[in-house]
Amino acid sequence: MSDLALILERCRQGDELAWEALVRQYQSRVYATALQYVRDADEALDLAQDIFVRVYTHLDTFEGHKTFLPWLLRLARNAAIDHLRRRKARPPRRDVQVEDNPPLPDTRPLPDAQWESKGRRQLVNDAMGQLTSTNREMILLKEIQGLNLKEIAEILGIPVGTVKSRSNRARLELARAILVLDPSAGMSTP
Amino acid sequence: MNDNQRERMVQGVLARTIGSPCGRARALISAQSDDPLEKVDTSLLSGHTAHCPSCRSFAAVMAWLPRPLVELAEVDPGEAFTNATLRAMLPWRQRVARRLRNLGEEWMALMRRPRFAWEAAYIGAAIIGLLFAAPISPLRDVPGEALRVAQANPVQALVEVSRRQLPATVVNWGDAAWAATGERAGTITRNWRDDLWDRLGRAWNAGTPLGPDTAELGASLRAGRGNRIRKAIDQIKKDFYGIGTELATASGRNNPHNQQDSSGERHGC
Ligand SMILES: [Zn+2]
Repeated sequence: MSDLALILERCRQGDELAWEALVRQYQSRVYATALQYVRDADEALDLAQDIFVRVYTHLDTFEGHKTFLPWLLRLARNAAIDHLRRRKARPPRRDVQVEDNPPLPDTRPLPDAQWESKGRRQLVNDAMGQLTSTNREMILLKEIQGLNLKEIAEILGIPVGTVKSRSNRARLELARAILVLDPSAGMSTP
Repeated sequence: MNDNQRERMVQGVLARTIGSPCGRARALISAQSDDPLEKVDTSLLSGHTAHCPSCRSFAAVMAWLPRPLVELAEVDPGEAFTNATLRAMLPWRQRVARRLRNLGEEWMALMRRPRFAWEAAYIGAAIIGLLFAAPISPLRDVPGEALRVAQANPVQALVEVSRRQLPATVVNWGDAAWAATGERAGTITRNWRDDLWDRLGRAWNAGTPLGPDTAELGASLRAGRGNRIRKAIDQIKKDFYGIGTELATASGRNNPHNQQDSSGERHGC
C-alpha cells in the first residue's frame, strides 16, 4: 500500500491525524484549482474549504485502485459548479469592483534566477483570466493539474476525441491571450 | 525579384486563394504539445514560421508555456487555511452526531411500546442497513461515526430486537413494513427513505457512479429503460433484507445464550 492509500484508509476509519495530513498534502493543489474556478483569492479559500468538506464526506466513494487526483478534481469541479451557481444567485458581496486577475499569492521563495519564471507565472495566470470558463477548465485539468485525456473525459463526461480538440483550442486561446497582454512574450525562448 | 517582392507576391497569391494559413500553422503548433508532428507537417510549419513573425511569436510562447502552467498547479493558501479547514469539520461532525442521537432516542421511545416491536424487527434491520451498509447511505460518508453509532445503546437495542424477532418468512418487507409502523415511525423512516430517493435520483440525473458497491447497479440503471429508480430501490430493499438476516445470524452466533429463544417469540402480536 502506498503512503497515500494508507492515509486514505486511516481517514476512512476516522483518524483525525490522517485527515490533517491529507489536508496538508493537498491544500495547495485544491486552492490552486479553486483559484482558477473563481478567480478571487478570498472566495477561493471558501471554495477550497468546501472541496475538503466534500472530500471528507465522500471518502468512502473513492475506489482505492484508482488514482486519487482525478477523483479529487472531480469533487472540486462539482463544488466549484455549485459555488458559482450560488454566486450567480446572490447579489455581489462587495460594491468595489473585484479585480479580474488577482496577483497570485507569493507563496514560494523566489531566488533572483527565478524572477523571470515568476513573471511568466503571473502573466499566464492573468491570461487564464481572459479565457472562457470552458477553455480555462481544460487548461486547468490538462496542463496545470496534468490529468490525461481519458481522466478528463471521465470528469467532464465527454469523448476523449472531444477533450483532445478542446484542449488544442484552449491552448491556442491561451497563447493568444498571453500575446495580447504582453506582445514581447513571444520574442524569444530562454 | 528581391526578398520583399517575393514575399509580397506570396502574400498576394494567398490572399486571392486560401487567405491566411496562420490558423492551420497555429493548430499544428498547439497539436505538437501533445504528439510529435508528421515529418511533412514539421517541415511545412518551419517553412511558414520562417516567414511569419506572428506565428513565430506564437511558437515561442507555446515553447515556454508548459513550465509556468505546471507552477500554477500548487498555490499555498497559508497555514491559517489548514486550521480553518480542520475546524470547519467540527460543527458538521457534531450535527451528524446530534442527528444520530435524536434518531436513537426516538427509536428507543418507540421500542418501549410492545405493539411496535414486531415491525421494529424489520425496520431495525432496515435502519441498520441504511446506517452502515447501503452504498448510498448518508452515514457511509461519515468515517468513524458509523462505529460510534454501532456502540451506542439504541442501535444495539435494534440489533437485539432484530435478532430475536426477525420473521424469517417476511421477504417483501418494504412498503408493508413502512405502513405498519404507523405515523411516528413513519416520520423517521420516511425521512431516511426520501433522502435515499433523493440521492439516487440526483446521482442518476447527474449520471455519476454511486460508488464501488453500486457500480453494477449503476450500469444496469443506465442500460435499462423506465422504472429505473424503482428497480434500484427494489435492489436496495433486497440488500437490506440480506443485511438484516446477516445481522440477526451474526448476533445470534455471538450470543449462543439467546439462540434458544429465537424461534418466533413475538411481542405484542
Ligand atoms: Zn502565420
